[in-house]
Amino acid sequence: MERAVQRLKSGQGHNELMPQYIYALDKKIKRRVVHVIVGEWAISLVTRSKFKYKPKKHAH
Amino acid sequence: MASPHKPVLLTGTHTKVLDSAMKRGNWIVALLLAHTYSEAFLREWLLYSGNLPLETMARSIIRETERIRFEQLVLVHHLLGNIDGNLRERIYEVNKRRNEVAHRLIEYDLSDREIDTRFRGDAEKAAAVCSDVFAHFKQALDRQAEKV
Repeated sequence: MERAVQRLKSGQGHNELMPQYIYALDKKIKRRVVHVIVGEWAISLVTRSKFKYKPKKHAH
Repeated sequence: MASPHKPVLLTGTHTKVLDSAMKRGNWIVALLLAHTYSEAFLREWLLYSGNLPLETMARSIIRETERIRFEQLVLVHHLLGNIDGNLRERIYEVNKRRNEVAHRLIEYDLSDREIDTRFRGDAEKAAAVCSDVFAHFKQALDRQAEKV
Protein backbone atom coordinates (compact mmCIF):
# COMPACT_ATOMS: atom_id res chain seq x y z
CA MET A 1 0.00 0.00 0.00
CA GLU A 2 1.34 3.40 -0.93
CA ARG A 3 1.91 5.44 2.18
CA ALA A 4 1.57 9.16 2.09
CA VAL A 5 4.76 10.91 3.05
CA GLN A 6 5.29 14.60 3.30
CA ARG A 7 8.31 16.83 3.41
CA LEU A 8 9.18 17.93 6.89
CA LYS A 9 12.06 20.09 7.97
CA SER A 10 14.25 17.89 10.14
CA GLY A 11 16.06 18.86 13.33
CA GLN A 12 19.38 18.81 11.40
CA GLY A 13 18.26 21.71 9.23
CA HIS A 14 17.74 19.94 5.92
CA ASN A 15 14.66 18.57 4.21
CA GLU A 16 14.19 14.87 3.70
CA LEU A 17 11.30 12.55 2.98
CA MET A 18 9.84 11.38 6.23
CA PRO A 19 6.41 10.84 7.75
CA GLN A 20 4.92 13.91 9.35
CA TYR A 21 3.86 13.55 12.95
CA ILE A 22 1.65 15.68 15.15
CA TYR A 23 0.88 15.52 18.81
CA ALA A 24 -2.90 15.59 19.19
CA LEU A 25 -5.78 14.39 21.36
CA ASP A 26 -6.78 10.76 20.88
CA LYS A 27 -10.46 10.78 21.84
CA LYS A 28 -10.54 7.05 22.54
CA ILE A 29 -8.02 7.25 25.37
CA LYS A 30 -8.54 10.96 26.13
CA ARG A 31 -4.84 11.68 25.92
CA ARG A 32 -2.54 13.59 23.58
CA VAL A 33 -0.43 11.13 21.61
CA VAL A 34 1.55 11.02 18.38
CA HIS A 35 -0.48 10.88 15.16
CA VAL A 36 0.93 10.30 11.68
CA ILE A 37 -0.40 12.38 8.80
CA VAL A 38 -1.66 10.24 5.93
CA GLY A 39 -3.27 12.33 3.22
CA GLU A 40 -5.90 14.47 4.92
CA TRP A 41 -6.08 12.23 7.98
CA ALA A 42 -4.20 12.27 11.27
CA ILE A 43 -4.05 8.70 12.60
CA SER A 44 -3.21 7.88 16.23
CA LEU A 45 -0.24 5.54 16.51
CA VAL A 46 -1.67 4.21 19.80
CA THR A 47 -5.28 3.31 18.91
CA ARG A 48 -5.42 4.07 15.12
CA SER A 49 -8.39 6.38 15.71
CA LYS A 50 -8.29 9.23 13.21
CA PHE A 51 -9.54 12.71 12.44
CA LYS A 52 -9.38 15.05 9.46
CA TYR A 53 -6.31 17.23 9.82
CA LYS A 54 -5.87 20.72 8.44
CA PRO A 55 -2.33 22.04 8.89
CA LYS A 56 -2.12 25.31 10.79
CA LYS A 57 -1.20 28.31 8.64
CA HIS A 58 1.86 30.06 10.06
CA ALA A 59 2.07 33.85 9.87
CA HIS A 60 5.39 35.12 8.46
CA MET B 1 2.09 27.46 25.48
CA ALA B 2 0.18 25.21 23.10
CA SER B 3 -3.49 24.65 23.77
CA PRO B 4 -4.08 21.12 25.15
CA HIS B 5 -6.51 20.46 22.29
CA LYS B 6 -4.66 21.92 19.31
CA PRO B 7 -2.40 19.59 17.32
CA VAL B 8 1.29 20.50 17.32
CA LEU B 9 4.04 19.24 15.03
CA LEU B 10 6.55 16.80 16.50
CA THR B 11 9.77 18.07 14.93
CA GLY B 12 12.42 17.61 17.60
CA THR B 13 12.41 21.24 18.77
CA HIS B 14 14.06 20.05 22.00
CA THR B 15 17.43 20.25 20.23
CA LYS B 16 16.96 23.99 19.63
CA VAL B 17 15.95 24.55 23.25
CA LEU B 18 18.96 22.60 24.55
CA ASP B 19 21.39 24.24 22.12
CA SER B 20 20.11 27.64 23.16
CA ALA B 21 20.69 26.91 26.88
CA MET B 22 24.19 25.57 26.20
CA LYS B 23 25.15 28.49 23.93
CA ARG B 24 24.19 30.87 26.73
CA GLY B 25 26.36 28.83 29.11
CA ASN B 26 23.38 27.77 31.23
CA TRP B 27 24.82 24.31 31.85
CA ILE B 28 22.72 23.41 34.91
CA VAL B 29 19.52 24.38 33.09
CA ALA B 30 20.67 22.37 30.05
CA LEU B 31 21.34 19.31 32.24
CA LEU B 32 17.91 19.51 33.89
CA LEU B 33 16.17 20.10 30.54
CA ALA B 34 17.97 17.25 28.78
CA HIS B 35 17.00 14.84 31.54
CA THR B 36 13.39 16.04 31.52
CA TYR B 37 13.13 15.65 27.75
CA SER B 38 14.72 12.18 27.88
CA GLU B 39 12.24 11.04 30.54
CA ALA B 40 9.30 12.48 28.59
CA PHE B 41 10.37 10.66 25.41
CA LEU B 42 10.87 7.38 27.29
CA ARG B 43 7.42 7.62 28.95
CA GLU B 44 5.74 8.47 25.65
CA TRP B 45 7.65 5.75 23.78
CA LEU B 46 6.20 3.05 26.03
CA LEU B 47 2.76 3.62 24.44
CA TYR B 48 4.09 2.67 20.99
CA SER B 49 6.05 -0.38 22.15
CA GLY B 50 5.18 -4.04 22.53
CA ASN B 51 2.47 -6.16 20.96
CA LEU B 52 -0.60 -5.23 22.97
CA PRO B 53 -3.68 -5.32 20.68
CA LEU B 54 -4.74 -1.75 19.91
CA GLU B 55 -8.35 -2.31 21.03
CA THR B 56 -7.16 -3.13 24.55
CA MET B 57 -5.31 0.17 24.94
CA ALA B 58 -7.24 2.10 27.54
CA ARG B 59 -6.80 5.25 29.60
CA SER B 60 -6.43 3.12 32.75
CA ILE B 61 -3.40 1.28 31.32
CA ILE B 62 -1.82 4.57 30.28
CA ARG B 63 -2.38 6.03 33.75
CA GLU B 64 -0.52 3.08 35.24
CA THR B 65 2.43 3.59 32.91
CA GLU B 66 2.64 7.20 34.13
CA ARG B 67 3.27 5.92 37.66
CA ILE B 68 6.29 3.79 36.72
CA ARG B 69 9.49 4.94 38.42
CA PHE B 70 12.24 6.25 36.16
CA GLU B 71 14.65 3.33 36.73
CA GLN B 72 11.87 0.81 36.01
CA LEU B 73 10.89 2.72 32.88
CA VAL B 74 14.45 2.49 31.55
CA LEU B 75 14.62 -1.21 32.46
CA VAL B 76 11.36 -1.95 30.59
CA HIS B 77 12.72 -0.23 27.47
CA HIS B 78 15.86 -2.35 27.73
CA LEU B 79 13.82 -5.55 28.15
CA LEU B 80 11.69 -4.62 25.13
CA GLY B 81 14.87 -4.15 23.09
CA ASN B 82 14.16 -0.45 22.54
CA ILE B 83 17.50 0.59 24.01
CA ASP B 84 20.77 -1.30 24.46
CA GLY B 85 22.74 -1.80 27.66
CA ASN B 86 25.14 1.00 26.82
CA LEU B 87 22.39 3.62 26.41
CA ARG B 88 20.68 2.29 29.54
CA GLU B 89 23.85 2.84 31.57
CA ARG B 90 24.32 6.32 30.11
CA ILE B 91 20.72 7.21 31.01
CA TYR B 92 21.28 5.98 34.59
CA GLU B 93 24.47 8.04 34.82
CA VAL B 94 22.68 11.21 33.67
CA ASN B 95 19.78 10.46 36.03
CA LYS B 96 22.15 10.08 38.98
CA ARG B 97 23.91 13.37 38.21
CA ARG B 98 20.63 15.19 37.54
CA ASN B 99 19.24 14.04 40.91
CA GLU B 100 22.37 15.23 42.70
CA VAL B 101 22.10 18.66 41.04
CA ALA B 102 18.30 18.99 41.37
CA HIS B 103 18.29 18.15 45.07
CA ARG B 104 21.06 20.66 45.78
CA LEU B 105 19.86 23.36 43.38
CA ILE B 106 19.25 25.99 46.07
CA GLU B 107 22.90 25.70 47.10
CA TYR B 108 24.12 26.94 43.71
CA ASP B 109 24.31 30.57 42.68
CA LEU B 110 23.07 30.25 39.10
CA SER B 111 24.24 33.78 38.30
CA ASP B 112 27.83 32.66 38.96
CA ARG B 113 29.24 31.54 35.60
CA GLU B 114 32.12 29.66 37.23
CA ILE B 115 29.76 27.43 39.19
CA ASP B 116 27.62 26.82 36.10
CA THR B 117 30.68 25.90 34.02
CA ARG B 118 31.49 23.04 36.39
CA PHE B 119 28.44 21.24 34.98
CA ARG B 120 29.35 21.66 31.33
CA GLY B 121 30.53 18.04 30.92
CA ASP B 122 27.41 16.71 32.63
CA ALA B 123 25.15 18.86 30.45
CA GLU B 124 26.89 17.76 27.25
CA LYS B 125 26.58 14.09 28.25
CA ALA B 126 22.89 14.59 29.09
CA ALA B 127 22.26 16.34 25.76
CA ALA B 128 23.95 13.47 23.87
CA VAL B 129 21.81 10.93 25.75
CA CYS B 130 18.67 12.97 25.03
CA SER B 131 19.57 13.10 21.35
CA ASP B 132 20.10 9.31 21.23
CA VAL B 133 16.83 8.60 23.08
CA PHE B 134 14.92 10.86 20.67
CA ALA B 135 16.57 9.26 17.61
CA HIS B 136 15.57 5.76 18.80
CA PHE B 137 12.06 6.98 19.72
CA LYS B 138 11.69 8.56 16.27
CA GLN B 139 12.75 5.30 14.60
CA ALA B 140 10.11 3.46 16.66
CA LEU B 141 7.47 5.96 15.49
CA ASP B 142 8.57 5.44 11.89
CA ARG B 143 8.13 1.67 12.30
CA GLN B 144 4.66 2.18 13.78
CA ALA B 145 3.75 4.58 10.97
CA GLU B 146 4.72 1.92 8.42
CA LYS B 147 1.95 -0.29 9.82
CA VAL B 148 -0.76 2.37 9.30
